[in-house]
Amino acid sequence: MTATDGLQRSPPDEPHFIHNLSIFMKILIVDDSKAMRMIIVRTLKQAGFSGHAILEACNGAEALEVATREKPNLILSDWNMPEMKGIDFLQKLREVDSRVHFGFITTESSAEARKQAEEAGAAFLIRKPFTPEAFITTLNPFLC
Amino acid sequence: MIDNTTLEQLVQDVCHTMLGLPVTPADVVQEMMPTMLASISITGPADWIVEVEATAHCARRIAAALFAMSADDLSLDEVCDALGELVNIIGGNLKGIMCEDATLSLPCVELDEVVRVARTAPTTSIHMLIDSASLHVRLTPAAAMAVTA
Repeated sequence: MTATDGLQRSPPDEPHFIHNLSIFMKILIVDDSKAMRMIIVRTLKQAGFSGHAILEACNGAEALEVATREKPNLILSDWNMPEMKGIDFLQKLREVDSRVHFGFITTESSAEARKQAEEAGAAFLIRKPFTPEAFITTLNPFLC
Repeated sequence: MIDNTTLEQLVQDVCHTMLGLPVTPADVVQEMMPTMLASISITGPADWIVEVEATAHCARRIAAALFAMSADDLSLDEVCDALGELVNIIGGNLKGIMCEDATLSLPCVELDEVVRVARTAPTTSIHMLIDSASLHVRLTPAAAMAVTA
């Protein structure tokens, strides 16, 4: 599982990747903060991942309903949320044999959390605060 | 225990990365009225409370940056959400430094009218300025928090 420290230390020099916009995907963003959901959407665009359908949910329980109904291609989820945490949401998805690509965007960075995430089937963990470059590095394999 | 320098650097990193706003240490501690207070707790071998206190103007400035909207167009709920997310990120990163395996609570945001909290134990406390608006970030042992009406 990839874990990315998104803290920005100095301005990047590398150009952004240009992605194949003809590949249309559904991305489900799960976070109890509306502001954070907007930041994630904005950062996806800044990273060059435009042209995809964005779905949103404010906790794991709502996300489970949305994921069941909409069958997203990629889920980006916070860890700590009311109603149902991100790790519980992921475990519920795997219980119903969903193989959707799933990653956490969170401040949670402990070894135990990463182990839990990996065992539950998460593909990556992006740390908050994050940069567009962290999104490019981590999400390229899933959105290209 | 986190020192002021470490806390200042962490807050500057978070604000620069997530808000795109310059944050500088305040030379003079200013009276902050009215304020909004966002707090989050770290529970583990030792329990801590992280607080971000901002003037209403500063909180709107933060929310405007996070939502990429005009400060005047934001609802109070959106401003509270933004401040709560800021303390969530600061608190989560502090947890990562202090005790990775501790538990982070959900953030709580209160307005100035609620009870003020007296602190009797030393805290790590910094005053910052975002576009000349005041931001106060504190780290306090949970046992030292006493509620006063």
